[in-house]
Amino acid sequence: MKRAHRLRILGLAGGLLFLSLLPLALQRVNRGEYYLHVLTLVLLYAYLSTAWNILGGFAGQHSLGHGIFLGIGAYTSTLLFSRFGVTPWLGMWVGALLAGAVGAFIGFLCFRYGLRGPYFALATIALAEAMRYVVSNIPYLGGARGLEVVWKGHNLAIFQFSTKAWYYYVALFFTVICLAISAWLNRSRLGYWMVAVRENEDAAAALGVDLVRTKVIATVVSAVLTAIGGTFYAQYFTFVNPASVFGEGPSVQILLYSIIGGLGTVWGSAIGALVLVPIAEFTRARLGGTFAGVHLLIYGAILMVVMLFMPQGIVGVVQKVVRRRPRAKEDR
Amino acid sequence: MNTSLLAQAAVNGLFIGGVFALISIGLTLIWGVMRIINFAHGEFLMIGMYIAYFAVVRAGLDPYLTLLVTVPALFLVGALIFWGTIRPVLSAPSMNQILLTVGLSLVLQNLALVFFKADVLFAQTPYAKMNYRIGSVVLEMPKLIAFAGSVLAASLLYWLLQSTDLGRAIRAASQNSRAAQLMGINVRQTYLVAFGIGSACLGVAASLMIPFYYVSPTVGIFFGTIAFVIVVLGGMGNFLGALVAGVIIGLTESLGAAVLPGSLARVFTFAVFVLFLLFRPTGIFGRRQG
Amino acid sequence: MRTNRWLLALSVLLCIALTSCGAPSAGPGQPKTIKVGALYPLSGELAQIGDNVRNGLVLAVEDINAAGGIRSMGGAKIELVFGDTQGKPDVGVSEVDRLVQQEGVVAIIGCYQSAVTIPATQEAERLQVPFIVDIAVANKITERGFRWVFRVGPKADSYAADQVAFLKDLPSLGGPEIRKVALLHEDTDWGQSTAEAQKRFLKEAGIEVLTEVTYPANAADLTTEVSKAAATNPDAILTVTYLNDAVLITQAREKLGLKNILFMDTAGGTIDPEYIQRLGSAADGMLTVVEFSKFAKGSAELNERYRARFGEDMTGNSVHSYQAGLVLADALERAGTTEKNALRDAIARTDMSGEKVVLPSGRVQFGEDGQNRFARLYVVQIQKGELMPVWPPAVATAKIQFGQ
Repeated sequence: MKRAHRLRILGLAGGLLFLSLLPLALQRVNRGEYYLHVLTLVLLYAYLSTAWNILGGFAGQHSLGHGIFLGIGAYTSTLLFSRFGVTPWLGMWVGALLAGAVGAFIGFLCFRYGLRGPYFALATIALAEAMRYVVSNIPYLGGARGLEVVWKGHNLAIFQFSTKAWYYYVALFFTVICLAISAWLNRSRLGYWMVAVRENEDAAAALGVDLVRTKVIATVVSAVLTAIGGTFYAQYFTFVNPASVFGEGPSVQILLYSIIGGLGTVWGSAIGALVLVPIAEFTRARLGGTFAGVHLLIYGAILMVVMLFMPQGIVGVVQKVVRRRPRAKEDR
Repeated sequence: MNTSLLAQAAVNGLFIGGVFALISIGLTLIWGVMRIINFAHGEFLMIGMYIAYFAVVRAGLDPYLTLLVTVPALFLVGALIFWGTIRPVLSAPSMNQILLTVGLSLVLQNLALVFFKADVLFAQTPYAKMNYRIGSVVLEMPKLIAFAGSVLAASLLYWLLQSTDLGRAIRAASQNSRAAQLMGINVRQTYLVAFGIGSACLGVAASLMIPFYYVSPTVGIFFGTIAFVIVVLGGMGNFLGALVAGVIIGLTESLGAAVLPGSLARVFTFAVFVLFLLFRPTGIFGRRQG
Repeated sequence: MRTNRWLLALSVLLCIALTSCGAPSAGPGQPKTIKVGALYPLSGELAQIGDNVRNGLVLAVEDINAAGGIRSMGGAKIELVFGDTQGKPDVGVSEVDRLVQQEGVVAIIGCYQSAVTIPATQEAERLQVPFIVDIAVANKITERGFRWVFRVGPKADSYAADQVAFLKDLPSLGGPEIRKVALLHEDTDWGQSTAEAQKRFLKEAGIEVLTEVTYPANAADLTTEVSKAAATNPDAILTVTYLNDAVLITQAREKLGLKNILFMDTAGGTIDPEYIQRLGSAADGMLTVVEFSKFAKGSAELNERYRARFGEDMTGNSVHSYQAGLVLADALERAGTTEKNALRDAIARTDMSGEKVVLPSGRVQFGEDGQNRFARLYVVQIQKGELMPVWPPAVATAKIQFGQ
């Protein structure tokens, strides 16, 4: 047990060191900035998906409307920055607060009235779509035209960087924090409550778990983290409009990585992003110009194959393989 | 705001609502029987519309005769896709099923893009010009036919479910699949047929729509979304509910557009949807949950 | 936790894969081919228009290469590298990164949608790569003080300005005086940007806006919206459309018998070849501002070649991508190098006229802000299934017809 623990710490530290040094290595590589961009995207989606996984994976409530929180985070910081000159570093927390409140409201509404499984999924997807149309019709929020984060030159204080490496480190920082929260939850009492709610609501209630409260807390934590990712999204892409953050598309995208990586596991979402994001980027790069749509076709096909043949995701497959080897037992 | 505008909006809403209803009936049937939320439902409609379009443009068929092609074709497409992709996940968690169909819709949409390019296609038919005026209200023949056809198709399906052995088997499988199995019903096969019929509904809708609506690889997105709203409003799995809810949503979209600015009517549609999910998940006709 | 190591191994693998598939960079000096990025929505809901814009650029590059390439660089050929934005702003930014850093393009041309063009040009500005916007209407694109961004096409203001100027001119063309109008447009950035400009110019001209009706572009039926706009009794209805909504509006116009109201579109769905094909005589009488007409002087030959190559008529979109290709080739010719600062300066000093300009204005010259100072639009009316230029009088080959 001790040895396994030490190994885990060592593995984590090694991985982190590797990821921190990666930009330095990539700077020496021809066209390294682009790879850094892809890795930043991997981190962003690993982060968002890990945040989703707290509600969707641990607590088992499959939200198809996380675009709402992504959008609130992106819009709040961008609005505060462009209209009032508030630095996005601060706007980020305002957005997180707002998303937390909205998450609490949505969570309370849905769970108080006992929406479960596909019903919760449908309610959240409808809310996300409704939000897209609402924001599209509010001129103050830029309407359908969206809001732009105006480029003012490299400045750490306003979250604008001239090289990708900066964004990469910020994304890395947040992803590590998010994974840490996720790992902590996985072993905490709250996390056990969530899993209990996911596995069997009646049994959990009988054991004294407050169902609504547990689910609402999971929603709020997930919403707050997602909104912070939203601010990063806005700063990184320098533009938000209703279609790119609210609505069904981005909402579904966020959870794909969790599902494909391994739902309800600490690392699944990150692994899913690590595998899928580069595939998406490279298929689009190779095929997007010649056969429009082929890359999305491949994406959809991967999703179908995973659902058909490895429903536990990549982590599930790996665990199955590992479990066959007896030595692995001491790891658990 | 004048009355003739509202009357026109009501007529349009009623007609398009009939088509909405027919599209939703397929979805609600599939949900009712095997508890699968099919996110690729709209893409099935898209396939049907391409078939109808090419039947009209290439083979020179009358748009309403294309029913003879689209209905069996969509039944086959549905049955094949069920057999190949849905059947293996029937007992999987609902999220996996949802994502499988999301993947399927991406695949179908982009296959269409590869094969037919993104062109928005319109089939020229003589019906497009048949309009009649009653007072200040214009009645469009193709939409009237679509409405009547939808109601007819729905009635036919209702009769099929209520009065035939096949229908009884489908209903038995939907109420209690294990008991149905014990009674000697081949549940898997019944599912396959039900999925085929659910898709065939879209074949009917596709042929009825081709005289007044366009085809493109992304045409299914809107109708798929609307179908979800209608199915929930009517009560998931409730046949008659979907019919009524389809008309209600058609009227909401149309009258909403007459009264509200821009796409806010659609916000209203989604709001109705969420409120029903929350407070009346069994739909308009469902009993209130205890 | 085995997954940690697995994660590590995978990331190492990924890095190796990433570095190995990088394309070899062109050496210094004079390259045999010059890579140029072409960024359009090639999949997703706007893929049809994306295809259409791309075709214009493809034809331009084929013409340039067939005429001997860039002479000042030893006849170097231009090679287009395509990027697909999928119609999404974030993907647009990703593709700019890829085109510049992975493919090593010397400049980018694109990308039709304002919502994608705004962040994509910002990324180009950050990377300091010349970005030529062929067509995308948001005013903002060239109003941010960027150094590396140029726009060949008109901005939203130009469309609105010419529409209003035309409406003011109507009495002199034998038409009615336009005192009040209704606006009817789809509600994404294209419709909202244009309508905002329309309202400003209409107000300046003293024309009253009775109502503004908006609708989602993928609506299944627009009869209600058209009735709503017509119910206010306007002299004209100004529309901003994509293809399917333009068809729905025109059908509603015929159904409702609104031939006495002028319908004027903003180079939207009405200029798509499929529009007239679908509607036949129902489309007759529709007016639109447009960036191109095959009936205008000197346009027929280009249109014929385009038609032979792609099987349909050129549109205002493809003519701008064609022009953008010529602008870049002209700048490369004068710069004699692909060095980005020299190329940027060459583009900024562009002053083209004569047969190298296929746009109505006949001239391309960028202002300080990077905006082409010579944006000029035609007004065409659909007559017997053809887009006939009716305004300005200098280019008009047909007389405008009313009330049919």
